[in-house]
Amino acid sequence: MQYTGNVNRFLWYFLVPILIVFYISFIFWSDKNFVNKPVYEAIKNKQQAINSLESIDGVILGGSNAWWGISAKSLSVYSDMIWANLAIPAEGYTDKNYENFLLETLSQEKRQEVSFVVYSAATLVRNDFMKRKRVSTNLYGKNQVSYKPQRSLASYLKDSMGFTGFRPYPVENKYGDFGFANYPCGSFKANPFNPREYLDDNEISSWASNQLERIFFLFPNATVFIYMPNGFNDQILEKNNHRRENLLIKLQDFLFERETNGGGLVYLLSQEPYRSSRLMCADDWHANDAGRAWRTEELYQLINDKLQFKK
Amino acid sequence: MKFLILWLIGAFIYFFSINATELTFEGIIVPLSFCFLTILLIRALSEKHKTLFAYLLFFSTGILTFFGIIKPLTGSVSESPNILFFGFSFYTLSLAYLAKNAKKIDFLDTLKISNPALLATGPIALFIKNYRYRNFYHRFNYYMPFFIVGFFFFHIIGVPLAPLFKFVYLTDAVSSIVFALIFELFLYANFCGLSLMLYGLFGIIGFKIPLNFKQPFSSSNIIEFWRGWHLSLTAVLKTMFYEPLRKRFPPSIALLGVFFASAMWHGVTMNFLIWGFFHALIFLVTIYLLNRNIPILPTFALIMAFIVGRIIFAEKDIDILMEKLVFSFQGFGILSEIISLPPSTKASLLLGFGIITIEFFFRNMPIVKKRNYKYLRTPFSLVFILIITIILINSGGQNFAVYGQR
Repeated sequence: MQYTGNVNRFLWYFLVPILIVFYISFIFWSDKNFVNKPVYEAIKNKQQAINSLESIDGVILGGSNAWWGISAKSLSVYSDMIWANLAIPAEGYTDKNYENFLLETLSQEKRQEVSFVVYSAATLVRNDFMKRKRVSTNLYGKNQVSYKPQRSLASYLKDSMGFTGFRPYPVENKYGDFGFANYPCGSFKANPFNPREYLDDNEISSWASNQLERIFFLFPNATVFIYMPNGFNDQILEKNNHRRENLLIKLQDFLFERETNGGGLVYLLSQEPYRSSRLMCADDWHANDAGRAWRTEELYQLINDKLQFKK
Repeated sequence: MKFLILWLIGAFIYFFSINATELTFEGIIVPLSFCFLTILLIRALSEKHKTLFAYLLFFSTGILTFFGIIKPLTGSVSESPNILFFGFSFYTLSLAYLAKNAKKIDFLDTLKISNPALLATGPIALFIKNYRYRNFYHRFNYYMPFFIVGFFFFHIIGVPLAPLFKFVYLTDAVSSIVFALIFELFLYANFCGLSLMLYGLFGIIGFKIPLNFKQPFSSSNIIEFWRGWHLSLTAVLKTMFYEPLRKRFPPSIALLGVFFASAMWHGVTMNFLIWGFFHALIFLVTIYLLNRNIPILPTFALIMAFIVGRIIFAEKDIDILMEKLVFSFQGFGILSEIISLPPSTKASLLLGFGIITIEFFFRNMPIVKKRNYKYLRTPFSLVFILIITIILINSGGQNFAVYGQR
């Protein structure tokens, strides 16, 4: 590149190197100063709350759909047992992170006492099984240092101008439930242009094997429920319902085959879609307080149908 | 020795960029061993058997997709379910090309073909030449801008668009067209971006590899378009299908053969067969129109090929594909979804379509006409690109090579 103009020389030999040096410096600065405060505080508060439970009979596992949408306190009341909501944002970003979180939160003794596990698996309705393997994010949402900054310069500029989008995720009680009293949900608008991506057929068995191996390692004495979450029902999702049904059939076949081969009984549950947008908290996957009450009751009935608890 | 070092650099890039727990040592050792053994076999074969073997290698990717051992290319994450087949579609094509085309196959070719960086992203390693006459200073000045432009394409335009793949499930006319346009832009930004990055990086190190894209949108018809899109594959198809078929058949049959072969390489599925036939048809119609000096219609046919072609390319479920191709109008709801996208995604769309607009509408300007991204490689453009990159880039999104990995 033989540039002859003085301006071009200035740009190429002076300004471009300065920008590159600035970019590299920004990467290190961003790495040093990055804290995903809402997620960090939510996890710490949740661990602290659940540690106060002396024993736990049932646990709810999953990501934000389960944290927003299932109340461990209500399940405890319904079943006359002690449940803990161990769902955390993005399920810890990777399966390994989530496993470490569970190991860190519950002692071996407590884990062995757990009789029921409800795993509300967003991967089934997000198809992010392989994606979750690729990310190098820690439990609190911080990525490994790389050639890209943790956050964009634009987002830092936005923060500095007071347009910050961060809101804390409160923990409501000792069961680890989400605290809606201190969280403004905002309005929810049904979005027919946000269709779901269900787990690929050829990934069902490896996903289910991985998850069940992990769950039984952590909770060796538990009865496990794989619980496929749902969102708000709208026209497009109705149209794609065959995908959901197809996945449920294939997953059920896998679980049946596993049981036949001596792998133990695992129940498959499917959530009904939320019936009203008034049950939602600004997102197709996140229930509000009323949505959580409805979903928890539905979950309890589904479990009860299988195990015949008494309400 | 130089090519061994380049292979090791490629392995380093592979591990650095893929950064995934499931991609392991086999991902680089299996291609190396396969290429070595195949070259050993090719050298032992007679000329006639060598040609037959070349076609077997070419179609091996299609055969494996048919049996589900590797995935057909869909545009979304295309990692192979089996790490043992990492890069298979690329190195088998390189081997097929060499078996069919090269007079002499060297064991040194093993290191070139199985370079892990090229297998992860493309282009197909048809050649890697060592520069002996240019010093580092000149190489850096020439190739660094390619790297910067590629980085910008991949990270700033391509990565933020991946979440929009969810639109593939929408079947109404407006949504299908919007998805097709976004998908076209994504494929371009992703594949071209990675190809330019490697072209720049290898050039700085001192090696010339194929320039895989040459401003494909600086075209007024589909013939010009294919002179700028995925050129390493085009070279293989030309050598292995167009030229031999053209010796015996009219151009229409030769073109059908080329697009059939291309479709099979992408995956043995019905949608790719339709896609290949559709592109061949548009190609033939364009030749007809150009021969009769009919203006504008070839450009219209090109736009049709973008939109309808990408709808077909991306949808492997035939029932849904047929539903889309009915183009039933159900309103403009998708546009409000576009408006509510995150600012970084909107910026990507704006920048991406801005670049395509420049390539298309200014294609006769001297700086654009050469079709080598010169208009983006000027110092002024580079400063602009770097500033935009620094402002927008973040660690979110998915880094995957849309044509690589399988």
